[in-house]
Amino acid sequence: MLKILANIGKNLISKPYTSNYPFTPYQHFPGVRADVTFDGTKCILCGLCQRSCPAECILIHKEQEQIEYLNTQCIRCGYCVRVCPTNAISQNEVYTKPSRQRLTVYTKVTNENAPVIKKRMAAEAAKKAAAEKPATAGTGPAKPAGEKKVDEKKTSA
Amino acid sequence: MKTTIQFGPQHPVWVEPLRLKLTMDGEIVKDCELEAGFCHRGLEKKFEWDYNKGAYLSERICGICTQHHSTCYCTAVEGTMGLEIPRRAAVIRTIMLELERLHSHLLAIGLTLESIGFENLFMLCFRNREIVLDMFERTTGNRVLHGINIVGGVIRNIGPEMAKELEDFCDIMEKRCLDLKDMILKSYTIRERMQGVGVMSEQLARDLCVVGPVARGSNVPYDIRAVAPYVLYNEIKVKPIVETSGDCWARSVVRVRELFQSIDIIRQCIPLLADAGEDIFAKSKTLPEKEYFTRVEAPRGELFYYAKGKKSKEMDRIKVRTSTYGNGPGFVPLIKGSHLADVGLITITFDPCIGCFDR
Amino acid sequence: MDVKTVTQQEMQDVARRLRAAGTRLITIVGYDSGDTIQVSYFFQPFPEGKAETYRVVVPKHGGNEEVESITPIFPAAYIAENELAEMFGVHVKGVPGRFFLHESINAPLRRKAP
Repeated sequence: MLKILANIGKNLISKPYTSNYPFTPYQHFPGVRADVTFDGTKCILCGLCQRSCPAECILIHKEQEQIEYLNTQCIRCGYCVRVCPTNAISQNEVYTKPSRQRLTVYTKVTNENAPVIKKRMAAEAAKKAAAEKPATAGTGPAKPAGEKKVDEKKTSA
Repeated sequence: MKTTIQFGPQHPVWVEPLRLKLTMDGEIVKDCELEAGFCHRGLEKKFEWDYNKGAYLSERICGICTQHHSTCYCTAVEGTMGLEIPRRAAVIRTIMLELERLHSHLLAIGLTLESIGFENLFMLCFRNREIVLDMFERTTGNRVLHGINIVGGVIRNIGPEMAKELEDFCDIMEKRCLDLKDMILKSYTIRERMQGVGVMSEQLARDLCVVGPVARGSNVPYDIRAVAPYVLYNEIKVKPIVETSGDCWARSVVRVRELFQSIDIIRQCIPLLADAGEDIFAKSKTLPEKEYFTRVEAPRGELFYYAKGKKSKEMDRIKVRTSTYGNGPGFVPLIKGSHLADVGLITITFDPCIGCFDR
Repeated sequence: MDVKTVTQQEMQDVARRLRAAGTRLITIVGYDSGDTIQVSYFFQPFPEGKAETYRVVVPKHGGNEEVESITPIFPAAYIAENELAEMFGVHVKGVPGRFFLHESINAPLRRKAP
């Protein structure tokens, strides 16, 4: 009985255990795992993250040269950060706020070392060269034309 | 006159769906039928994919013992390819396993107390559980689904700074758990309510092969940490905590006493971090090929994973046998002959996890 | 992991012998290898000892496979045998054969013969 009284007294004096939420927001610890961000200048569009993602929330569009990241589907495991060969993916430390939309993030890849982009630029250069050539020579070379056709097919599909 | 009562699938005592079909004679339960499968997700079929992704999938079987599930899965897959994990990874895994036992037991004790109407102590249990979750956020980055286990090791290191924090945490936790222990064990009300309710005799416990605190409450000292040691339990000896009476009270007391055992194991593990090497991940050179099984002592009891590879990235077969799966047959003989008011209490002292049970 | 392959009749004797010695049943695991269904029984001697594994190989013939039940000897096998029956479409004698799945779902883990 005395112990109960002592406890009651202690609890009356001590301040509340719970935090005063909207006025003092919860402070996260350093190293919290939240969603990931893609660095378009480093990515080489290899597709390893897409294949290794357990939640299948990363979609790499090689033709459009962009990464589609389904934020609300992501499980924040951080496995893509581990497998990325060029460290283009980094994990944030701030949780995503609740939202009404599906937070799909598109990142445009601008890295010139990416094989896909290299190939496209080479094709564009060849096309340009081919466009200039017919003025001087009669028929253009067969190879760039063939590549152009493939590109058209991919974009239409 | 006989009445049939549907106890569940939605019942406030369990958070998850399970159905008991009770045939009543007045207040006494005459017959009981167990029906499960309300949250069957077909995970065993889904496990036939990339073994690296399986570690994350296995965490999602159960929301409370995620680390135990992923440790068991990773150990089984490492066994199929003959991979040894670095010592530091084993120490970190052991610390995480024991932290998780702490928070799972606090949850189980709290829910038991809530089911008998003692909401105040339930709040106190959850207050203590909160600092364990904070510790998880500090060490792994996530509060519930930690995701630090992968096949071959762990992905987050525990540095010297964090080890110091863990030590402080152990001191605070022990003090708070001692308070909680005094409140629960010395309470006349709780003891009178729980003693002699739902008695599982030692013979019945041996017959039904129940596991975990249910078995240990009935004087069966069955603890995988002692019987078949895994990660670091070869060095850290664990003595199973046993109570003799086999009723709801004994099962709860086992859980309360295991809190201190877990804190003790974490204290023993922290010095081992200092001289454990720096590697936390070992890359495997082979693919899963053989068959292998592992067992882990989850908070609810023995957890079993059987893994079979087929020399490719995909696994051939993973069988998950969870602790509630082992305890499930124990519900029926205990509920038969009890009062209707005791059914909730008896089942909640088993600490049922239906997400585990159905998979 | 060493596995002893036994026939169904031998399995009954093994189960009776282990039951008398106070062994615990861990679980029963089914596996479909294409043309056979392997049923593995895992036992743990108690209080100490190494886990033992026994395997029964049942040849497939069109969904009429029969497996002898060990539930009368080990009551703990009830859920595991029901699951084996519903997941692989085999007939385990003496158990209803439905526990987790709805009746409309038929043998999800069974594979087609190569």
